[in-house]
Amino acid sequence: MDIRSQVAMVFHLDKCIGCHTCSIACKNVWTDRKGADYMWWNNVETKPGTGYPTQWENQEEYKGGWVVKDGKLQLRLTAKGKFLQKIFHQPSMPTMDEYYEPWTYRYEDLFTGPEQDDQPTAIPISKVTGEYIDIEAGPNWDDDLGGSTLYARNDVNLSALSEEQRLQLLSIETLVMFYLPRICNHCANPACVAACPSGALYKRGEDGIVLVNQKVCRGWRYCVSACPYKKVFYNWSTGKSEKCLLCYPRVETGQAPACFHSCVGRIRYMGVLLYDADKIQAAGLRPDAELVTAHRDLLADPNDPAVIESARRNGVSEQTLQAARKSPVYQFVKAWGLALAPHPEYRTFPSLFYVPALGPVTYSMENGVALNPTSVDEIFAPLDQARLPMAYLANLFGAGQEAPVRYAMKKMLAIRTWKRAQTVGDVDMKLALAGLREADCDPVQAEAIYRITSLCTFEERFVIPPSHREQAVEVLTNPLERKGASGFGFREAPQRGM
Amino acid sequence: MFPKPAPRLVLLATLLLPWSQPLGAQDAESQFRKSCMSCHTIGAGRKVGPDLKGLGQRRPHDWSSRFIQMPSAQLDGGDATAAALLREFNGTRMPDLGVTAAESLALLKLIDDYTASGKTLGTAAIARQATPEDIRQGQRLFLGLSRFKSGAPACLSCHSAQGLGGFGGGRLGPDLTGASGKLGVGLVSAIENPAFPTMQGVFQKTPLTGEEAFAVGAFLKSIASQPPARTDMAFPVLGIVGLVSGMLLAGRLGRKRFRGLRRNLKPRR
Repeated sequence: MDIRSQVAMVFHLDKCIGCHTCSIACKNVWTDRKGADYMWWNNVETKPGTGYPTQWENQEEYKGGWVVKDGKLQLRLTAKGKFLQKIFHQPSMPTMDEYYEPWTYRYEDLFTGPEQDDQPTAIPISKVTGEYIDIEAGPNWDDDLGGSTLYARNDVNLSALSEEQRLQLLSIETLVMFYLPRICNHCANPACVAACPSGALYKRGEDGIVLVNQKVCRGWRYCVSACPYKKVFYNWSTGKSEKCLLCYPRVETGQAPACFHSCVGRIRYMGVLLYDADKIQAAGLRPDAELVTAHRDLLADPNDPAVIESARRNGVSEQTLQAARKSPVYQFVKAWGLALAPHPEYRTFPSLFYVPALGPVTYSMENGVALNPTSVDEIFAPLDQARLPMAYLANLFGAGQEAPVRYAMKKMLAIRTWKRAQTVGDVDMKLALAGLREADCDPVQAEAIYRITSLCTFEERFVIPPSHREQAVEVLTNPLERKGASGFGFREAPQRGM
Repeated sequence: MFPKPAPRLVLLATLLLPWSQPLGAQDAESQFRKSCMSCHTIGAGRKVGPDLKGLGQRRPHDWSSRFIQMPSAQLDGGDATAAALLREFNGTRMPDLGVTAAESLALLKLIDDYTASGKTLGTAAIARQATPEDIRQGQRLFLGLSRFKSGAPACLSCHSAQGLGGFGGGRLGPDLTGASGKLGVGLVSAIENPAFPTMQGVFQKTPLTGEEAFAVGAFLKSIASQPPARTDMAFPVLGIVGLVSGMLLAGRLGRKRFRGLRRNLKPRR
């Protein structure tokens, strides 16, 4: 047993309103720089859709993540022996076309335009060439074009759906979409770290944040190809790769990362997870169908004395262990089984989990008046009749397995029904309780889930342990080194008298 | 007949070589090997020209000396002996080699010495008829598929000829398709002991054996009636074909490469 701590995340998709405040917060703090224009360390995708970069889930083309070959975990990108063969040319990287050509507008035209009959306009100009461009793609093109059929239809996760189901997804009466905010998953088995020839990428020991050392990075861009979530970006100005750093300067001072902090829908949760690093390799070798379970088995119970003992041996601080016991992420993922990692079949074991979105509440209407429902099914469509087919969500969150997704959705549906029976009273309480039991839940758990979903405070959402950076600094430098050498006193000697 | 540029080149080489000093026996022998041996032997029989054994007894030294220095003067000047020799050797004219009076005397002394001692210098031409096997071997030698025993470079390095394939041979020397017509009976000995300064530089240290020269000569004779090799179009055509097939191969090998995704999105039905 080799217990390590990981700052982990849950995004509650049922609460996401797709406002992109997170993306903007991140952009303003980190990537509003030359060469980083096109980077969206945090982006919000419309699903079904192709996402950013276009079709990032298409690993047939991008070759990200891990595959099991001859009983061993291997990067899909290249075998170890062929590693150097591609070092000067990464054939599977997204091009600027799969991202987009960054642009701005010529705002000065608004002030310097000649006097004329029409209003002056600021035309879009490319940030690459400086010339006028006809914008063909953007960071959120699916959404900006109203989920154009072109992009929605090419969602990779639709592969499991029948032709009929796909048509239904796109017809106006049954149109359905949800938002998928994405940041770096700070995986437990990161492919980017494994692929780096320079050893520039590393996973921090104390909190598991994956970072690129800008001094070591040589711009080989294996990480860009290897990351199946395409969350490492190459900075064309500095010649180095960059990625989401989970706002570690904020996390180290006890604050939530900028995108978490600014989230309008309060969909984001952050907490410590303890995981057993010894089990990662074996878990990665399990077949697709067992990956969700294998991933959950990696996560260790923070109340188990053996786990605590092993964590202490690894230098995990008491406060981190305490935070792990209060972690909302542990509850969502392991205790309640509500949150699921995106694409577990990439075998990187993400530290970011999603609570899948339920479909909209349905009403029967007559003459513009909502009728009192006569059964639960009239309020919430049963899972099998949900507009978003279970097979789609299974591709996204279950490595093709419907069972874990179904379990989470069923529980959420049961809790909603039960809460409705409590507050509105138009559902039979007995039926609601039976539903809870059937969904492997009870009123205590349901109440806890309800509270953390709907009424959560800041402190409940973000349980961030102190990082003890001051202690870490003491290891490297003597904090008393400059005592008496600087601080109080005059910077320049006072001059008095003559 | 020699190819046209040859006498000029020989003259040039003669001027460049430091032959101003009186020649010793050693120098005379090396000059004989260089300039005379492609057509003459001493005591080994006839080649293109007569066997020179006993020349001193047959002709007066001053006549021989003048002939060696400037054969054209006697051949064109109505000298009866010269005219008889020309007839005897099927009209093959001895070229003007630019030999000085001193050199000619040294050469005649060399011939006398050899005659007196009974030694021979040079090898007689192979008299048998060329077989298809000889022709095939000659082609292989020309192409470098068989190596010359002495390690000399294959003819292909500098010469082209008909029947070598699309790429032809080198362009440094002339196309040898018609060489047998030009050199006539002197072909084989010209190959064996080339009098061309460019070739001498290469083949003096690595001479061909008589058999090898005969085989190459047989090959050149076999193609003599064909038009000269036309490689001017074949080369670019082969180049283009090679490029296109190379690109097709590269495309085939890299057919799974990333070709961009967004532009290839298709409206699914």
